[in-house]
Parts: sequence; C-alpha cells; structure tokens
Amino acid sequence: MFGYTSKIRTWTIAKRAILLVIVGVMLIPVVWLFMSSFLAEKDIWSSPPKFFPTYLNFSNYEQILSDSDFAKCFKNSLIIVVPTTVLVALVAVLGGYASARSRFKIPFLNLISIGILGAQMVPGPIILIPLFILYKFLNIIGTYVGIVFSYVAFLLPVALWLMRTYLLAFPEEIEDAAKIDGCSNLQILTKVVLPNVIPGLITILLYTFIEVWGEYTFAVVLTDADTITLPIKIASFRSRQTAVIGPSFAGAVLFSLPVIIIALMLHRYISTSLGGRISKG
Amino acid sequence: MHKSITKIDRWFGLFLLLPSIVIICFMFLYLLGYSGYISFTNLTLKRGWNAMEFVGLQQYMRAFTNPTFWKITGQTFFFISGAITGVVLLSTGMALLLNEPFKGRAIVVALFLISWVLPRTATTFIWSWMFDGQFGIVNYILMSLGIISSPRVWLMHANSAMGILILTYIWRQIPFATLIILAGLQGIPKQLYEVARIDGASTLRQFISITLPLVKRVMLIILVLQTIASFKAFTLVYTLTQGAPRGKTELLITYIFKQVFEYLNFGYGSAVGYILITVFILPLSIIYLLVYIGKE
Repeated sequence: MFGYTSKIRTWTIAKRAILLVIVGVMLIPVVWLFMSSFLAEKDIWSSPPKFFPTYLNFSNYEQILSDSDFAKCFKNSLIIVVPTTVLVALVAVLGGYASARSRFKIPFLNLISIGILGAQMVPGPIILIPLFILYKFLNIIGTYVGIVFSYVAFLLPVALWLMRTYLLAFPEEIEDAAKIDGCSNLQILTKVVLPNVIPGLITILLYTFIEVWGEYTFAVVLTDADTITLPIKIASFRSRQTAVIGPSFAGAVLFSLPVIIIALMLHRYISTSLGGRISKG
Repeated sequence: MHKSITKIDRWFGLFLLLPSIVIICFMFLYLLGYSGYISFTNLTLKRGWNAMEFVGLQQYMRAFTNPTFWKITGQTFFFISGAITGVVLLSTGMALLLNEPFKGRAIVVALFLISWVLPRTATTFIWSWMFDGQFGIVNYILMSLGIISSPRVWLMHANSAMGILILTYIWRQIPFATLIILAGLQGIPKQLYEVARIDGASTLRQFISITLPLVKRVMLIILVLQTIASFKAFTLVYTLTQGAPRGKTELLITYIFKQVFEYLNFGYGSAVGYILITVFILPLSIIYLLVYIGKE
C-alpha cells in the first residue's frame, strides 16, 4: 500500500515537472524578446550575444516612443481596433441571441448555422481578392471605414458562434417568466439577457481585440501610408531589414504587451469559452 | 392575442439577426462568388479592366499544367503533415498534463497561452532574430554546445527554413489545440476512472480504455480544424520566410497572395484560390460539420 501511494506521488511530481519544463521552454522566445529590449545597441550586435542584460537600459524605449512613424502606427491600430471590437460584439450579441432562442422561430435556422460555421473556414487572402477590387472601385482603400468594415465582416462568424453557443447553454425559462410578467422583447434583451451574457461578451471582446491588434493580411492590402497599422510596422523590423535594431525590440515588446496582459489577467475568459466552443457544440 | 405576440417575436428575432445575415452573405456569398467569376477571366491589373475577357477554365488548366503549382502543393502537404503531427501530439500531451486541479494551475495556463495570443508579426520578428545567421541566439547556443562549428544562415537553407516555419507554427498553435482537447477531457465523468482504479486498471489501461474512446470525437475535430488552419497559415509564412530560399517554403496560400497582390494576376490567383477551397477546404469543412452536428 505504501509503495503504491509513493509511486503515485513520484508520478505526480514527474508530471508537474514535465509540464513546467514545456511551458518554460515555450516562454523562452518571449523572455528573450523582453531581455533583448533592454540591451544597448552594441550588446545586441555583439558576438557572442548577450542573453541576460546586466543593466537596465531604457534608451531603446525612449527611441521607439519618440519615433513619429511608430506613434502613427500605434494610433492607427487603436483607431481601428476600438470600433471593430465594439461593432463585432454588438452585432454578434444580437444575432447570437436571436439564433439561440426557439421562440423567435428564425426561418432556415439550420442553413444559417451551417453558413456561420462555413464562413469561418474561408481563408482571408482569398476573400481579399474581390474585396480589394470592390474597395478600389469604391475608392475606399486606405480609409479607416474600409478596414474596420472588412474586420467586422471577417471576424463576425466566430464571434456570432461563440455568442450563440453561450446563450444556448443559458436557460430560456427566465426570459419566459419575464415575458409573462409583461416585459417587452426589448426590455427582456436589455434587463434580462445582457446582464447575464457579460462573461460571453468579454470573451468576444478579447477575441476580437487579439485578432485585430495583430492582423496583418488585410491591413497590408487595404491600408495606405497614412492608415498603416502596427503589425505591418513590426513585420518590417524582421531580421536583416533595419540598421538600428535596439528600438525595434522595444517596439515589438510594446506591441505584444496588451495581448500578454490580457492572457495573464483575463485568461479565464479565453480558456473556458474558446475551449468549450468547438468540442461541446 | 397569443398569435400576435408570436408574430412580434418573429419580427423582433429577424430584426436582431438581420445585420449578421447581411454581413455574412455579402462577405462569404457575394464576394466569394465574385472571386469565382474572376477565376474564369484573364484579369490582370497590369493590362487593366478593359482587357478583361472571359476565358473559361483556362486559368485552372494553367495551374494544373504548371510545375510550380505542383511543387508548391507538395510543399504545402509537407508543411501540413509536420505541423499537424507536432500540434496534435504535443497538445494532447499538454491537455493530459493540465487535466487535473493543482496549485498554481491557473498561472501555468495563463503563461501557456502567451505563445498563442502573441501577434503573428511579433512572433516572426522574434523567431527571425533568434535564428539570425550572425547574431542569433540559436547559433550561439549550438556553437557553444559544439553541435555546429560555424554560424548558419538558418532561414536561407531550404530544409532548415521549412523546419523553422513548422516549429514556429506548432509553437503558436499548441495552446489553442490544447484548450479544445482539455474541454473534451473535462467532459469525461470522473467516476469512470474511480471504478477502473478499483478494478485494478493501470494508468495506461485507463487511458486506452476510457480516455481515448471518449475523446475520439474531439480528436477528430481537432485534426480537421488544425488541417484547415494550416492550409490558411498565411501571415507566419509570408512574414518569416516570404517563400525563401528560391520558393522552397512557398505554400499555396502565400502563392495565391503573391500572384494577386505582387504580380497582379487576379484571374490566375483566384483560380488557384478556388482550387484550394474546393479541393481541400470544402471536403474538410463538410467532415467537420458532420462530426460537429453528428452528436448534437
């Protein structure tokens, strides 16, 4: 009996150790980025390379923050990400609610569901071909409205599906009770449904923010020199394309920081909802 | 009275769903249909709109008779098989390791998610510098371990560039795949394991007889979804290797993008895009739908 429990304990310790090693190894590239951003230019270029800075040097950050081009991209990314996130959440909550409630008796609901799932499978670059032609025709390439609309449309299917599955798991009886008490549909939506879907709403907001903040494919085609976003700027920093690299490390850190903070602080919303979405149906 | 209330309900529901339907129909029916139409023309923006003619299946024939197209299809399959093997094996392992409560689990999950939430171009920025031919940390580590004697330009050799691409992709995809498998594992009733333990079944036996059959559906879903996702892996490839060296890391999706937005061959690019959708993504999506709806 003693041998059995100690064997289990050894196995448990081994499992935890393997887990920690894997997560540790996976974090190396990110840790390396943060470390390098504090190195002075000459130490980044040195051979052998320095891994651990023996000092804290903020000059890379000072340089990138005073770079007007970086500031412009940061501003553009913010201008685009905020309305996109709000619009995706708004349309997805309303649509997800309507499609999850049998009392609305939406016609062709099965077909609509298949459409929402199928739309998630279409590759961005292929949709981009006709979209580019259309935008060229409408003369809206390089406008905020154009890029925001393309993001809302492209991210809506996933957000809609998340909201639908979230609401399907949520009991309809409360709404029926409110109905019997004389609440109008609009009152039920704002007073009963909305307060209860806040965790699902946060998931959608985070999902959309993360996707749009790092989106490259649409941005590289649909923005111009004035509306260029941060992901494109960071991509131009890749190896061998810039002369001074210290500030670009600091730039990549500032670019990654918002989503890393989300992962660390709000991971609950990401892990439970996104994980359950696809497997449970 | 009752009838009129249901009528109001129906209109209200339709009204709420309408924006979603309009947007999705526009994006994924109208635009996709339009690019299907373009794939039957010889549109190239070099010659302009007026030179556009209907050419039937000519662009498709051009793709099928083009050795480059077949070479890139082969490379795409190589990339996908490497990526899928890595993602499925590693995330299954991770899901099993995370499938029990322990102290600090939340922090481990949070840290684990970082490689997935990190913006793709930040990822390629990091990996391109780590594998830099001169100053990269990878060269330094391998040299100090005595594995290589002189620095290598990793991203400029066909095999190592493809390897790094697959590795980067796996690194990014593991957390998401793990979350889905984990959700499947957590749906297995704990009592099953207790009964098996009382009957004296070993951990391995429990895994084979309980875990595997019950997560079969989730594993199938993850396999199909990851295959679709790796067909769509554009940004990582385009910003990390850009197809270099000499097109050896070009995949179908980057090939399509370059044909359209670098060489302005809209007709040909759309045709290759339609081949990608109808031959590979559509059958996989149907399998996914069948598995997904199958057990609802």
